[in-house]
Amino acid sequence: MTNHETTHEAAATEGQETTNQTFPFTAIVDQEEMKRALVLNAINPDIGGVLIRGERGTAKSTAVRALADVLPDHEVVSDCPYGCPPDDYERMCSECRERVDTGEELPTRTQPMRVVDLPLNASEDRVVGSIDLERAVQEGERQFEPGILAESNRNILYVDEVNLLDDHIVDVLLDAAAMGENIVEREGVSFRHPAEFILVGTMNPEEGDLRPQLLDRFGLVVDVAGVNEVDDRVEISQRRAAFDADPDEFRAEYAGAQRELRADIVTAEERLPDVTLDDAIARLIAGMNIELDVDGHRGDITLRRAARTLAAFEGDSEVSARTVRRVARMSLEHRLQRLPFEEEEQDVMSVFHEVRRELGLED
Amino acid sequence: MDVSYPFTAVVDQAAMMRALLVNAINPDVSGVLIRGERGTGKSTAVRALTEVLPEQAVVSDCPYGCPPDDYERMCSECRERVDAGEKLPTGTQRIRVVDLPLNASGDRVVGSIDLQTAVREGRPRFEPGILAEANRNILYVDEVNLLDDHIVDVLLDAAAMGENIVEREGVSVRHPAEFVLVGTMNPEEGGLRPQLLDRFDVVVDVTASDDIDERVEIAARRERFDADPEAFRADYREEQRALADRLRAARDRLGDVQIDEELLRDASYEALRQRAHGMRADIAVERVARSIAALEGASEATSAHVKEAQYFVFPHRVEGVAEMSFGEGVLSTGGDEEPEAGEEDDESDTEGDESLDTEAGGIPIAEGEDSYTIDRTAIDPTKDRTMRDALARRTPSRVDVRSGRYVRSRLQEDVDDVAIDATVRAAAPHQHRRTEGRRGGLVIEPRDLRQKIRERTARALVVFVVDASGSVMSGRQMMETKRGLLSLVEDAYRARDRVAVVVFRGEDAFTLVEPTRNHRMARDAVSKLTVGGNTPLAHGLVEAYRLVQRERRRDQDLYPLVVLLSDGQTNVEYREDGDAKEDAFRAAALFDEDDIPSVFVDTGYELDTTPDQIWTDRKAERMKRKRFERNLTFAETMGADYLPLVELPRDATLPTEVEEEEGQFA
Repeated sequence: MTNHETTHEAAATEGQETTNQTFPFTAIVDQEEMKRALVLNAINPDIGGVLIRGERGTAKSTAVRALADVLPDHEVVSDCPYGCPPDDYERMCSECRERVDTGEELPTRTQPMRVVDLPLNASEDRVVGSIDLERAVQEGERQFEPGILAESNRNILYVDEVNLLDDHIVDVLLDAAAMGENIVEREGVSFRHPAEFILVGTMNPEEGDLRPQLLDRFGLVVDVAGVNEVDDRVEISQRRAAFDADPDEFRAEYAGAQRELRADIVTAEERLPDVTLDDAIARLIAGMNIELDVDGHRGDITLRRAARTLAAFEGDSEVSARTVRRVARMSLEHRLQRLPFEEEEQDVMSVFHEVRRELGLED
Repeated sequence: MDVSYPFTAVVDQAAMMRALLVNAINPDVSGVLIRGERGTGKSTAVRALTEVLPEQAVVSDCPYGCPPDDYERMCSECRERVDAGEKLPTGTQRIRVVDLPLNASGDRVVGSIDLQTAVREGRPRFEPGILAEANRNILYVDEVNLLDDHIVDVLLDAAAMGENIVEREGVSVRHPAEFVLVGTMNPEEGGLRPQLLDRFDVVVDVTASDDIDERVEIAARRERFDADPEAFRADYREEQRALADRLRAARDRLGDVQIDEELLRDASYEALRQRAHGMRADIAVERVARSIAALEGASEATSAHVKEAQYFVFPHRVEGVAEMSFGEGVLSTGGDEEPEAGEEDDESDTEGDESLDTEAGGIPIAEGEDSYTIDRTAIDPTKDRTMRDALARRTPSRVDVRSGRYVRSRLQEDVDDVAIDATVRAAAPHQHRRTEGRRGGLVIEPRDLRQKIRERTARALVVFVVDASGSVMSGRQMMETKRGLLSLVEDAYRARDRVAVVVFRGEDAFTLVEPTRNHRMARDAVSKLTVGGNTPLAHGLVEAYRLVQRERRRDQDLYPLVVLLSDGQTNVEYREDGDAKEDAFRAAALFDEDDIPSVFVDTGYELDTTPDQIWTDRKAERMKRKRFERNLTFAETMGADYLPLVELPRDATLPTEVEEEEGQFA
């Protein structure tokens, strides 16, 4: 049981420690789609996370861990285990609300968003939280001990090899992701707290696929392949070698680029609410979803969000067809229904152009 | 969280909204199940309902929110208070949507001993659980098809009696638990137990809109809501208030709504005609029709109201339509016709061995003629079940393990995985005595210890070994094989098993689908499968055997199941200079030796009509008998269950006799 506490503490400090030794995000060669998908999520958590599929050695995990370095800062209630936002009453946990209600001034601090790991061997009680054993035995009091979902509130929840995650953990994740809240009704504890996290997963498709329900929860999905350009390959190994030889110096080299990207993300975040999406583009997006026979409406909503976020990132005030094109595949491809006995597979890009032409839009 | 999307801002989905409102105003309607693909606003709508629900009078200090003026529906404590002449304090409270999360454990659902009181005061006191909270409210289960079986049992128990009876950990309590059950589910993730399905008076299926304007509107509203929830909600405040008023009025009016006996008679007749199960349908139609009338502001239910009610009540109760989804099984066992005894015949078994060598590359089969929209009504449910049960038995869906999900606890000797909560609860009532009044620390004795019972879905791998040689082209053999295969793949998905498909044809066998949980991929591959060439049965078996061995090396706990779909014929030897038949038997024996569970589905049992076409009746009969015997021996060699695949009637409509299905899940 002491084990529990140490892992808990380790996880809490991990965010700070590891970022110092991670490979800089801006030093990752190529893999533009993957980087774009990650950055878009950093700007706009509403996009709903990203799943990165690819073979081993395609810098999937490196990229996710590197992302932590360029994530924007946010304000948190400093002594709240859920890192509640001090100025958004609706998104606070019940305890913070009570404190606000009693007129207490909440202590705040600024901290960067973190990447919280969900290891494959995590037990359900560690994920959702459980009863605080010591208190239970000592005082006969039931105190909730927050788990990984609590930690991941307002942060990135990262699952490596997400396709190998146990089913019951997947169910719990889906529940929390759907509601933005973790409801615990087990082992004598009845508790709920906000759990709004950006779900990021990586997986190697050779190891098996993901449950459709979970797949659908990811806002974006990108497939990464190995780099085929000789020059790029050389560049990759050189950078890796340089990093391994002297991480600090290597990171110093990229410090400027890192700062810049981080600033861009912050600017985009601020600009996002003002990006407009006109009716023609809205019809383009809806038309594509109908044409592709996407399940439900999540495809429409995600594609709109992703397009607006990309526009914000690139400094545009309006979403253009071109912006839509560049996020269409990652937003929709995983939502296509693959019906049996259907020979041809629908292609997102060709449908995009088809609908775009029908609506008379420029690319 | 607290800021929910306004109910009145939900676009389209009229049926779903209507069904929810019907339940909101009439607590006698037992619940609604919303089925639909992902992202169709199912959960959004249910959560949105909270805000427009009417208020009701409650005993303000009662944990079960008893009705102050209905003695019969009160909890025992409230009754006692009334009996003692006490005036109960009352208040009003909005009907609530109480969540039952998938991770809920039994003690929290039914309630259990209050730890604090037990430890501090040494007396057992009942602490109410979710069922208590749900009394006179709405109990909502998202992904209700994924709910643990033992929680489902508890729910069904309480629902059937309108009461929650608790006998555990030194507490013995019963309290009213009358709730409206609302469930949402995605049928792709598996079906619902029939008993639970039957609990829902109303079932609606939702799909996404395919109207471009509507879709634009849906996405735009969602975006506006996300950008500024407060402003968005302000836009709908009036509508929300109007709806809330309407619901309150409807609820008040409900008791006075009349329904013509003639209409009810017609409705019952319709229920009979459509073979809706049991009496529940009739009762539900009456309740729902009256609610609809009340919602409409009518004082009497019309035939239009009854029609609408039937639309909600019948779908899941009508034989053949129940649980209808694509790909449902078509595989069936015959078994009732024994081949007629014929005289011994030493004619060698050659007819199938003659290769129908068609051009390499194979021929796509069964296209055009049949679109594979599988009609569930064509299935004999009893026979179908035998087949599936046989497979299900071979793959335990749950196993006891240390790493699984903690589902409940029990008392046992040698506890090595302590269920802390249960242990503490067990120790709690004795604290007063054990500590003799001293404070500080809990005294736990060995007899308090409870073991955690964990479950984990077994890592099962179902390997299908499929004959795709030219010889199976006769009759409908390959088509039925494929259909059966597809339905089994579907079952495997429901059970979360991994599947692999091994195909043999021509001179060799290959793995068409590597072990995967991506059942869509497996279905795709199977439906595109082409046939042609010789019949290398031994190769197929060896390939499957290797696959299982490989997977077992990777996962010690793997539970494999090999399903061979073949007519038992073979004409390619595995060993150089070997004998085709002997090699096949040798390959089969491998599975028996290694205790690899297997099933042999004989696709030639009735479907292969070649003998009938080539020989005279008597000789054809003899051939069939010989084959049947050979296949039985083959299954025995393999250590496999033998199951013959039988052709199903193609033009079947609704079964003429309604099968009694009682007891199947009891």
